[in-house]
This record gives sequence, C-alpha cells and structure tokens, in this order.
Amino acid sequence: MPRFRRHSRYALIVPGSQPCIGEPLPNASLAVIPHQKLVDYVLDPTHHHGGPKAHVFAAALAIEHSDWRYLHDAILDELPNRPVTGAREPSRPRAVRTWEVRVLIEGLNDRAAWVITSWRMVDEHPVLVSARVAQKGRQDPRRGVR
Amino acid sequence: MARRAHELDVVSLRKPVGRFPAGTSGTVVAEDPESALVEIATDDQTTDGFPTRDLLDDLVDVPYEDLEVLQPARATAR
Repeated sequence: MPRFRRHSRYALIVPGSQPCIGEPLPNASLAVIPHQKLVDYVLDPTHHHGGPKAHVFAAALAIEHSDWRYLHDAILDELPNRPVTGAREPSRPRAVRTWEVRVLIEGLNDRAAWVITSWRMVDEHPVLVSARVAQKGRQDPRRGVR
Repeated sequence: MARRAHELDVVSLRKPVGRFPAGTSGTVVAEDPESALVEIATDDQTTDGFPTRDLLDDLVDVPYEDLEVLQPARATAR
C-alpha cells in the first residue's frame, strides 16, 4: 500500500551548515523534490533520457509513473537518515557543488533497492537534482534486487 | 537566435566536455547563471537496464552556448 505521509515542513533551518561526506545533508528534513523532476523525467517512460530510468524503477521496485508521490515521500523519509556518499565539484564559474546520497527505497513489490540521489543546497536546504536506481553491483541481493 | 536550454530540456553537446564528445546528448537537471548541469544519457547498462555508472559521473557543467536543445521540456515541467 503506498504511503502518503506528509513531509514535515516545520523543522528549523540550521543556517550556514555545509554538507559533509559521512553525515546527512544539512536541513535534510526540509529537502525539496520538484515534482516535475519525478513526473516529467525520472519516472517518465516516454522521456527521451528519463525513460530508461523509469523502466528500472518499474522493474526493480514496481514504482511507476503514477506512483511519483510514493517515491517523492519515500526519498524524503529516508534522506535525513542517510549520509552523503559523494560530492561533485563544479567545473564552471558560478556553478555549485552536487552531493550524492544513497537511499534505500522499499518498493511496491516487497523488494527494496538502493537509489542514488543527487542534491544541491539552495537557500540552505537540499533540492533534488536527479535520481536513479543504483547499479546492480551496488545493490544488496538480500534486500531484493537480483 | 537559438533558445537557451532550460531544466528538463533534452540537449546535445556542441563541443566535447570532459570525456563526452560533441554530439553526446543528455538532460538539463539544474540551471546556473552561466551554465547548465546536464545529466548525460548513458547507454552503458546491464541487459536488464541497470546503469553501470554512478550518477555523479554522468553530470557535467556546460555553458549554455555549447548546448543545442533537441527536445524542449514539457510545458508542465517549468
């Protein structure tokens, strides 16, 4: 059964915090996922490039386009509990760092899979850049993805 | 004059960027003042569609003038 728990919007922003590898993103409980990112890209089977992502979400976790809110809430629920696992330095002027967090998503098929998410800090809170199911070699077969 | 790329547009690189040659396509996933963050479309997948590369490896900053918009994002995406 999909969960539709509302993400808390009442946490206090911790000003001036910088992400650190090994720790959760600052203000992770205030993270934002623009719904278009999921609806029109990550879970859109018709998108020229998002399509392959969407097929893997469907195959691995039974999460389909219409389940975007489930994925939205599942990522936001997990984010405060997971550490930053990577960072990407910008290569252009006035561009900003991108941070990677791996979140374990329970699918709608009683399976679970690691999903790689990338984030930018905007006005002191994380905003989702992109997401994809992690490579098969970085999944835990005991958790369902084989 | 060509339209500037915006978030979720499908784009093509006019010039090589890092290890990605000109002509490589991807999707704009964030906008900065002078460049776009582009997620390169990876063809490197296992037979069941799983990617073989990390997400951060497929992100590149590209000046707007070095991007050609192949397919604008849906109107609902902006």
